[in-house]
Amino acid sequence: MDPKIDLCKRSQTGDREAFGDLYALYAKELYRYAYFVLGSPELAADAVQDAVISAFEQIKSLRKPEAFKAWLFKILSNTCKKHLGEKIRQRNTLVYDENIAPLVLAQSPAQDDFLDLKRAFEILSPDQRQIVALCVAEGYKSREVAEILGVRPGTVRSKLSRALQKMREELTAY
Amino acid sequence: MKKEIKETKETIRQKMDSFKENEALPENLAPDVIVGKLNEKEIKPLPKIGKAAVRRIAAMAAALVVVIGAVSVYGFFIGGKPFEFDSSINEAGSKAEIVSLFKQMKKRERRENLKDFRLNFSLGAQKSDTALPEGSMDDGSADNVYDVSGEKDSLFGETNVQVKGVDEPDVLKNDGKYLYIVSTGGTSVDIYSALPADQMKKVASIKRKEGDSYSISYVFVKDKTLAVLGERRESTEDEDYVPGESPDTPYRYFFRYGKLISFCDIYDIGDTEKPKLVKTVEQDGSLITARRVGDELYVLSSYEVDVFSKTLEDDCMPRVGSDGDLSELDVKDINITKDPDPGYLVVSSINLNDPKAEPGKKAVLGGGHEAYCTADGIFVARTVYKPKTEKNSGGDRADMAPIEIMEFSGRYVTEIYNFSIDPGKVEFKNSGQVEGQILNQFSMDKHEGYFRIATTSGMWQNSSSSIFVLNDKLETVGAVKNIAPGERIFGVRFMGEVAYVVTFEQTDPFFIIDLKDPKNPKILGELKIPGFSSYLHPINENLVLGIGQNGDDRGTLPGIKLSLFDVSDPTKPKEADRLIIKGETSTVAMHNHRAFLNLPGGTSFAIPVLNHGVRIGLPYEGITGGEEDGFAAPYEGNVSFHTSFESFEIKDGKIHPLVSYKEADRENSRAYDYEGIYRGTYIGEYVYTVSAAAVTAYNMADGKVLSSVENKDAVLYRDYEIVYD
Repeated sequence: MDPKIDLCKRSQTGDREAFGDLYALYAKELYRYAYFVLGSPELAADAVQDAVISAFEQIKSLRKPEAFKAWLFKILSNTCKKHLGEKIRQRNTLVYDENIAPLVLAQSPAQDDFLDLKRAFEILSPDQRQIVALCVAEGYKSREVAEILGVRPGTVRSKLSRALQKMREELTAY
Repeated sequence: MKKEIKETKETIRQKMDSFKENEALPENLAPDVIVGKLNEKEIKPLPKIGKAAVRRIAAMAAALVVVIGAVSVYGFFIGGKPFEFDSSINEAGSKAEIVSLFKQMKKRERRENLKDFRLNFSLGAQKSDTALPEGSMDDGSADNVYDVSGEKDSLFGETNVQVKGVDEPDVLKNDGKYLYIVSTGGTSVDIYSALPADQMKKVASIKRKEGDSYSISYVFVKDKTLAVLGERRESTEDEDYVPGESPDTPYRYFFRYGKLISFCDIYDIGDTEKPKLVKTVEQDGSLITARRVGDELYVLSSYEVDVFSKTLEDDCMPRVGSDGDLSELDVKDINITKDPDPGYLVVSSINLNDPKAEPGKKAVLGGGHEAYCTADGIFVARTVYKPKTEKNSGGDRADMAPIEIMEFSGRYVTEIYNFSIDPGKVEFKNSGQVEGQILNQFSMDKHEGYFRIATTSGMWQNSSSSIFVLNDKLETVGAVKNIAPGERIFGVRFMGEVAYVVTFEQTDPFFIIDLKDPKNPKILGELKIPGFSSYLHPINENLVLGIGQNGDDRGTLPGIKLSLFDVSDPTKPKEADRLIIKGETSTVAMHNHRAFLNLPGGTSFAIPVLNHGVRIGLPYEGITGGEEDGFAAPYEGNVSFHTSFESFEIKDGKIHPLVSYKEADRENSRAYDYEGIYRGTYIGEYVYTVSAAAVTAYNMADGKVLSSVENKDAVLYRDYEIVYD
């Protein structure tokens, strides 16, 4: 049996260690997704933590262990929406957290890359960020992204193409 | 342009991968920290929300709804009366009325933005508590009946269409002498003289003059007329926009790049090598699709209006015009749906025989993305996502993600707009609505006055599929619901009094639905096999061919699967034969029926095949013999892209491979990276294939390459993700 499916089935029986091992396989991808959608390491860590705990609670309702990753992303994207909703309510205008990100990035060798990318994500709407992160980084098809985000595939395609045009300008501007 | 987008995608992907590799996970996300947290708070998985529980919740919701007399949607889940909508659509009275409507939508949109950053609107289902409406028969309509006896052998390949006599747009057209091919970047239409086949050459290349960015999507050829369809962008000035400037305008950048305008250029190809531009018809919006019935061409576009535009009063009227002169539609040509979104579905008609004539035009405030067309009517479907209205958070853990996200996170409904078509005239007839979302144009069909539509509703394990039968007022008169709970429709084909439906979760149930009695459709037969078919092609009254994905009882496996379904006893469908094209193979024909080529004789066909892993041969795995059938096992260790156009014959209830058409070897095999050969056609005894890299002519009988025209300045990528239809 695929070890992931095995881990998932064990998690469904309440095995927290197995769930931890399963989570470890996707932790970085989840964090990356939340980071670029929410624009702040702190918010991203909070969102991932909430989503992962919530996922463990709901894991019995997952009927297809093979779909675990997409399912986890669905929960995470809902959690991110919730965090963004709070941001909107606080009238924060969805600008990235300027003060914190550079500190985190300071030790990393690919710093310039991330700054570029961060800037390119900043100009996107929250749903465009989610679409780009899912389609481009995680490699999901528009139909799958539509399922994860609860929109129709055509919307995913049109928003993706608009987002990419926009990001292209930003990425080539420097 | 598309190549640039592809590059941008690649850049972002690389950067994001580098982020993943180089960026440390925050300490509080370390797996042991998370496990510690789960242990510390003694978090346990909650009991499974099973199907029964869901039904109960739904039933309670329905009871509640009856009391307060609100939306009747939940009646659906408990098998209540068919879902009905008020399909009345008004003609607009005046432009002032439309402007005021858009201003209301602007207010609503602002509200929605503050509440939820989604760009969808809750339309609110129309409640109806009347009895089943009577279906009225429409005798004079032309229907989609698959005529197995009337197959005539054509001397050249034609686009594989859904409805006989209704031509569909494509990137390759063939008139028996010349091939008309849209270049992979959408910048030109290239004309090749196809005969003699050993001296094929490019004789003309049509480009648009303007420096504006444009992209050609499709062509049509009818006698001495060539129609070139595509989109261009009309630049607008919007320089003072700053992202995030105000919470009112988070979507402004959607429209920053200018309006999309669909164009249809008509060329006189009396002298094929010197095409002459006769007329250009343009209309607001992105190109959805087009259809040709005889000399009449119908072009459909979807025009999204930017409600925050400073020039909203001008922008809110869709425009159609010819030769660069776009003018607003007359209000009498605009229909308004009951609770519209800020967008239009625009339909225009152009006579190819008399292109000088004024184009017919109509618009419906609404939208659309899939179209089904018969000789006398167009049905356009638009799937709308309706976000969940009530918030159900997980028990008392209100700070967590909602517990039932897998259960009820909104729903899809599909609106249908029906236009009647007559040469020179498009009339809006009516609209209807059904629960669920459609797969593609094959999800719709009209037969003996009734319109039938197949949809999937719900998500994940709560999905199930339905077939609705609607009368000519687009009122639901009958339905089969709850087909394959937990699965989605992957392929569907209506054939007269039956419908074939393929749903998929882990195995591929093939359903036969009896639609003889429109008010009482029922499931006739069912077959479960591994993998799935996404395109169903009728061979004759007893055989249906399915093209799809290989699989086993746990899910999908690599490889194209060709299935031959024996439906002679509709209560007991059988898989008469199965052929797996092994390796990491895929075919465009799975998702685009226009890539499927009917070969002469009615029992042979060909499809493009792309193999990502194997260079030598195409190993087949038959239903019985497997690799012992004399075909080589996949050749390991020489990983490369292999692309070919493969023909097959259906004989004695079996699928037999015929000929493999392979382009001549060349250095720039990078051209295959994206999709390899994507279309093929034939003229007489010759087969022609098209890839980004070359157009190649072969002997039909043995696959010998006769001549080839390489495309030196090929745009090597064709990004399907941003192509519509």
